[in-house]
Amino acid sequence: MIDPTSLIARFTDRFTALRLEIAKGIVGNEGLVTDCLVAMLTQGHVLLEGVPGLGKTSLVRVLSKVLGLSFGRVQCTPDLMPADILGTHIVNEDDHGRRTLRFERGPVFRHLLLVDEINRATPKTQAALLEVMQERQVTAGTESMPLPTPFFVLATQNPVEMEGTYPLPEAQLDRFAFKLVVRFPAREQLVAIANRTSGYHEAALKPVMDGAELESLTLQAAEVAVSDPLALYAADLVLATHPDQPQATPTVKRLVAYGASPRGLQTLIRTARVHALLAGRPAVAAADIRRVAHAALRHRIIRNFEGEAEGLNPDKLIDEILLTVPAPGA
Amino acid sequence: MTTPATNLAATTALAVRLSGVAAHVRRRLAVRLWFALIVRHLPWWFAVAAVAALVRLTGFGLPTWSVVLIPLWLLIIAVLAWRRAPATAGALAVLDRTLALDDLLLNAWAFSARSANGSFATGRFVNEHLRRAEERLPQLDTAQALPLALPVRHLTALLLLALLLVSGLLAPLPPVPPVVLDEQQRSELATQANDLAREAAQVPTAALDAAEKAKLDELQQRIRDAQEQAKRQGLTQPEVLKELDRLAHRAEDLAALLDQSDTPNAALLGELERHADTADLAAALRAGDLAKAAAEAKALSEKLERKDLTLDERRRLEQALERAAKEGSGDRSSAAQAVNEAQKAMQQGDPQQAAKALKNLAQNLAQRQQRQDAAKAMTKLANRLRSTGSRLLSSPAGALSKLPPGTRSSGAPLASSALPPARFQPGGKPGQGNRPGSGTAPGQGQKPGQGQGQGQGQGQGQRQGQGIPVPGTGGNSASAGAIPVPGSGSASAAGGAGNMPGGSQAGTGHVAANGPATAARAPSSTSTVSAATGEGQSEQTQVAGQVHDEGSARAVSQTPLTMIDAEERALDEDPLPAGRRAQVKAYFTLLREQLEP
Repeated sequence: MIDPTSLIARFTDRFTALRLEIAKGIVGNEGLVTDCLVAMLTQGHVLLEGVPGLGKTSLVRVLSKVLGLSFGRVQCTPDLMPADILGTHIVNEDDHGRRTLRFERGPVFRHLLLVDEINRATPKTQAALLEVMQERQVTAGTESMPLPTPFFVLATQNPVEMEGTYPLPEAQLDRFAFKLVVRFPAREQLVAIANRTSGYHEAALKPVMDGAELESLTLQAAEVAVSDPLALYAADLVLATHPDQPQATPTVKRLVAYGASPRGLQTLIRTARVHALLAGRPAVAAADIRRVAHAALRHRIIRNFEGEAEGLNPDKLIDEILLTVPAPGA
Repeated sequence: MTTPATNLAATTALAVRLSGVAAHVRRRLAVRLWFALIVRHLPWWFAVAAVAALVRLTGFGLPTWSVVLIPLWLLIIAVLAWRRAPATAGALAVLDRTLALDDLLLNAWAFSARSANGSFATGRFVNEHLRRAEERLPQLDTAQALPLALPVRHLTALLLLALLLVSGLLAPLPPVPPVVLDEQQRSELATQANDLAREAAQVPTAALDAAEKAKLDELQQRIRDAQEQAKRQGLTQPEVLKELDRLAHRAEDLAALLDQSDTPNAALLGELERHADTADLAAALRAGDLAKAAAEAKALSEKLERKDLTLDERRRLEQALERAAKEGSGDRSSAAQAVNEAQKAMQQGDPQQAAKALKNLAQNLAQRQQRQDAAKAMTKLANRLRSTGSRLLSSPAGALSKLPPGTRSSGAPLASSALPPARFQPGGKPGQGNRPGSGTAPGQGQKPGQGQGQGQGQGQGQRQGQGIPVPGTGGNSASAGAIPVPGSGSASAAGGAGNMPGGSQAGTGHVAANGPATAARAPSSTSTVSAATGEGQSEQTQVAGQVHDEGSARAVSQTPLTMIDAEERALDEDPLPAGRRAQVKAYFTLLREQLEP
């Protein structure tokens, strides 16, 4: 049996190797890349939000290459149908001229599915992703077909163009482990992008690990210990997003309609475990929970009418909650 | 290898060790919090010290028990700090944060405590964590991590505060040496004492009983003693002030004893005022003019003694006394008793006995007048005694307040300003004004030109000490505190010189609209009309022309202007359309232009 210290060291090494390889294809955005990887190490889906041209799609492509995962892509438009994603039954004629129905698998049957501009798809199409994301299987008629493991959905959405879009419903949003905001690169990063990607040859990336190793790392992360005081702290953070709870801040009580779900708490703990391992620790610390709070909670806080009218920024609200909810010993 | 996770005993031991560390940290945190509270409260304590210093400058020191406040404060905030100090998990988390241990100790305590509670924590990462914590424990230096040193400047401030409060502010004040009177002051005191003794000797004693005379004699003797003591060397100001205060207090007590009220009730007076024969007596009693009341009572008794008292007059008096006695039943005043006695005598057909009762009343009233005079003299003497103390200290007033604490005689008022409200001292003689209507009732002619006015309400008004502007009042007849009575003109107009009711000049006062009606004046005469055959007789009461109190001092043209003002205000308040409001206001402006002079 491998001793925990070696396990932690190996985990950190492999993660570092991933980061280095990804850095060949993605300039800057270290935090974003780390967050994506952390979510994937907990088998979580990621929603990337940012204006066009920031490299969201490129990031997903690079991830699929470096992780050695099959890659599927769906470009969402209002006329996109669920069958375009999931697949559909088609009539197939065999050598004897008999006609049978055969299920033609859609792009969802990949390890890594990029759903580009997800908020442009109709609610019907968005709903088709619900089962896929949670159950990791596709049901067509009476037949259920499991998706390859590991399976991740990385969706993107544009926060600027709201015309002709269908905002994701709360149930859909809750299925994403993280919602990550893609920031505009800094000046130095822009220069690096210009130097590195203005040619016609893409960077040659090689897979650092495969799906099986990724799953084993996921299992290792799940072993990281979480003490009761810290689990309580995470629970308090989640409760503080609910306006009807005593932990709620005055702003939450005034401007929030619904808070994060228990799935949000699961995400907090799971992703904090990964951060603990990355820090070389066998147990989660409060700092790990705080580190992932924004990404895990920002899309789970539903503003009320007043909150939307005032343009409440969920990130600022989470900052307030982190300041208000006492950490263990505070 | 034996790890803590595989060994329950070791895990429990780790939990105990961590709890010990937590307890140690908690104590240190409580002390640090205590220090923080001390530093936070220091400005307040300096403010308290500043106030105490100011108080001390005025001659008072803080009581010595105040020193207890400092340890009490320290104790209270220590308890507060201990209660606010975090518990075990919190203490370990604080230590983790201080030493940047990333919740190493907190998590270790939680895992090991869970084991101690029976739910044994397992897992290789838990074991690894406990191992790391156990490794780290011996290296922990809580004293270094959480130092208890109070910053030097705060320590200095605390010591300074303690020094100030204990040594300077709380130390008892040195005793103030009493100021000894110099030669000039003693001479002045002797002169003053001489005057006081003379004044005390002039207090009328005719109406005083033996006990009262004894008290007065004692007071006079004490004043004479003070006169003797003034010659003594080494006499101090506090001694003099204390003695003068004591004497003034005695004089006031005696004055209060002499000036006991014996006023009959209002119903009896009201009834007496209704009858012409007794109206003057009642008016004098109501005004508190005892001398005049005595004279009126004597006149009434003489009237009853007259041999030529007609039957009508006798019946009239009998009726008046009967009704008055009925109103005065239950009244213990001497006037009520005299009326009662006289009424009974009259009922028994003995006017001489009735006259005797009224004569006794006259004597009693005269005696009360003398006692009242004596009381006034005593009050004056008390005031002189107090002012003597002030003069001696070359201070205009309130010198007795300079008495050091503890030298004041028990229960004695401090200064003349602390005297009880001045007893009733009529500021002017009632009835100074001319008698309204005395010259306008032909055939009545009661004491024309004597200048005896009614004076109703004057005595009452003087007691209240407030003046009410009444139309028709003269300018200088009433002294301070007296209600100016309509018709009571100036002294120059006394004697009914004018035939115009209410004085020779129109009044300048005013009364508010819808004010109280003018009180009915006393009847100028009552008579019984003889009955015709077979018919009963009837009584007739005449009320001569009286002053009307409600004369207006404002011009007639002023009234519509006032009304317009009121309506304009109403216009501003009411929701009238702006255009319409301007129109109505223009109308009023036109009216005003025509009315205003």
